[in-house]
Amino acid sequence: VKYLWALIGLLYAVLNLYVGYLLVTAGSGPKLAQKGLLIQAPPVLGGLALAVLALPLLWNCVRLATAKTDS
Amino acid sequence: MSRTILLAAGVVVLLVGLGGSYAEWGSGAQPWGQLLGDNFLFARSLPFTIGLGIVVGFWRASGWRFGAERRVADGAIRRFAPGTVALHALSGLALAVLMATGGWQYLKGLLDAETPIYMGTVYRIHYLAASLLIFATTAFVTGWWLRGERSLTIPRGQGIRTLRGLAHELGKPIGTTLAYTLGLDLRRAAPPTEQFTFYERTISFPIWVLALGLIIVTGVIKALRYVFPIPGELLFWISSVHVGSGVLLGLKLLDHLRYVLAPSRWPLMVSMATGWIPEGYVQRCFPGWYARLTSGATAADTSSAANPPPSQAVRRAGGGAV
Repeated sequence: VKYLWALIGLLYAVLNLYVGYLLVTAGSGPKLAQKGLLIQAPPVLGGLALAVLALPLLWNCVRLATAKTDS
Repeated sequence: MSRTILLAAGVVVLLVGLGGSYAEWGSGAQPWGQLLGDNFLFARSLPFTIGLGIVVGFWRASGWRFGAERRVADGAIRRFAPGTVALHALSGLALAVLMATGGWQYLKGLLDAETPIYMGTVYRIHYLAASLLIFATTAFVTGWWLRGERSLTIPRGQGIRTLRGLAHELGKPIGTTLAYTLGLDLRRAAPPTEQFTFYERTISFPIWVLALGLIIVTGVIKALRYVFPIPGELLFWISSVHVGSGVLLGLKLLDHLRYVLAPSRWPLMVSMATGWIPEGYVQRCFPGWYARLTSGATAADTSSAANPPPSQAVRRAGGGAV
């Protein structure tokens, strides 16, 4: 079960990295550039936040799969 | 007995409400397509879903066994009641489906992309998952309110003490910065951790409450827009807050999984699935809770005749599961 959760966490973190990338590229792309900063800022900031918060989860999933757990 | 009758009545009323709404939808009296029909079904089912949540919350609270349980085999302590484990699992499943379907809708619009899945189906799944989340949230809130459950919140008058505990818990760089900013004295020993860590009580749970509260309220208003007219500009802002709180929930889930999937906190993850947590872990990581459990053991044992344990494999002690 521990390895399954490490895998689920890993997949969720990678998915969020990808969604973060999509949000940043869409937010800074030509379509939203015409609509002003107020429309551009939320996807860019949200995408960056998703990517930043995905990194510690990635690290903890790797540690969960490789290190000894507390009991 | 009466609480079980009330629960059964709640289920019957939900089924009658859904049946009536479904019969009208199926009769063809209204010229609704799948999208609009599903929206009406969802909007009309909301009072019954909330009602069932309230009844289930009342049912759980009225049959609540106060005091902690210990498993005789290994001395493990019950941290979560079986109903809490079930409702948490239901909420987690609903949240995962909601974020997947909601994210699909948002990204489709943002990226201006074609979707291989019919959007009516995506919305239908979104409404079903939203109903589950609203039911579970209502049941949780009703139960906590009726039982006076406060273990996940900051105790009244203990804000500074709790923040000092948080600063100790966060460790050197972040904890010290927090202590310096708020003027907390970190030379004093950390207050003993109760049933939930200071991080769970001051950061994690309040953010869950904020994000879930925002997404449920805005989602319900959006769902009611064809039943009650809502001004377009207001609907735009409500939709924006709904999407924003969806992203906040995605962020919170990342943080939540980061927290419970750390090897040092794995027993917390196991306790959320089984309800039980090892005694040694409680003694080491939750000394405040452990002190309450051990000091209340005698008093709780004497009351066990009036409030018998659920099975022979457990015995009661002080403190209690959530």
